[in-house]
Amino acid sequence: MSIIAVINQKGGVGKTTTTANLGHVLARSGKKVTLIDFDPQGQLAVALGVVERRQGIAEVMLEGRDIRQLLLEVRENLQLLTAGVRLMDIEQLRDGGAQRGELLSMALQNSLQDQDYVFIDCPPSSGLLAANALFASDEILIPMAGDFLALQGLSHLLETLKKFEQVLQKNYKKQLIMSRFSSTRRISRQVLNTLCKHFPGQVMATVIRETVLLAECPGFGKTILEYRPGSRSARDFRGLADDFLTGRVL
Amino acid sequence: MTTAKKDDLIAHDPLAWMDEEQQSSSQEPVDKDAEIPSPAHGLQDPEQDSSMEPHGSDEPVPLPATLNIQGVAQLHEQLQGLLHNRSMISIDASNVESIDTAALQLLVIFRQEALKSGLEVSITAPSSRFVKAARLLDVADLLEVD
Repeated sequence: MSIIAVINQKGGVGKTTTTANLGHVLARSGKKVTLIDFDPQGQLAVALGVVERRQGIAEVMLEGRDIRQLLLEVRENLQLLTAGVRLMDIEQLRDGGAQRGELLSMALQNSLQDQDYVFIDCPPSSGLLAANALFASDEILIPMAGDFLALQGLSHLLETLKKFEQVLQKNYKKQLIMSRFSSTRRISRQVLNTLCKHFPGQVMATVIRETVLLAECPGFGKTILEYRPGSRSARDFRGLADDFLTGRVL
Repeated sequence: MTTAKKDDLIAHDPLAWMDEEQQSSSQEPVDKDAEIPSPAHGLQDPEQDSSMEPHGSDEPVPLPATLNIQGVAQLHEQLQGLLHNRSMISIDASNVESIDTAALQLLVIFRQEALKSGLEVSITAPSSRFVKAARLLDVADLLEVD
């Protein structure tokens, strides 16, 4: 089992879209996938059609609830652990010392062993929730939008990761995904070139082009495979999943 | 701080510190246990070198701003030269401002022929003019730029 944090402290770069759609393509390919909605806004659950607030990862971390009782089978081979009602409380924790950062790691210990991949859809922040995600993960997926501020945000994220790597004495496997790519904007292309320059062999080969369909499908609680299976966005995510499985990079 | 080149939309590179850090660490004594970074083989800035790339490289082939029947023979020769050197060919169409039927035909045929021999050819970051022309001639799907 691999635990993968889908993380970028900048909002609007495509973390939730990537988690939902990549997860679903992998599940359809026969992999066993669990998605953890680790953003208090709970939008990953909504994107997968789960709209009611229900107990989830927050209650596992704060109350010691059994993770298996809270998992939802949202699609074949695809499980979801919702954010829960109290996820924001974790961001506010003042007691517990260093252990505050290990709550997720401890919650996942000896759980989900039958899964191939566990993806953590992180919040757009660098607080205690992000720290928990990084403690628990072995790999990092960084969705990037094709604009300058995304590069700026990435710079901050890398500084954060560096500190974690020093403290935890581990090197994360990091992969970048060019999401929200606009082929008609030169800035998108230049951001992609900048990423390839600094992260040779770490930028996934398939770029996710920004489309109206990707913006629409969460409103129907569907992934792109369900909303428009023949669309170029569905093709993009199939290509991305293939990259993920085969290690194809730019 | 890196300075912007002409046409650059990124006036300074927020990730430049990574290079500086890598350079300074390369001057430090070598730690045998440390992971050695692989040589850069990512996409190259087309402005740095628009000529043919080294043997075996997978860097994208930049198309010129104007691509018409006068330049088709040269482009054909250039693309043919890649067939045996590459595992995949990426054609950068981001700078194309004008393209005619002959050039689009060449790209369609080259892509189809390459695919038959198991070589993947993709048009990356096509400019709006490129996409518009491809749509007009109904080859956008064939080139996968739509």
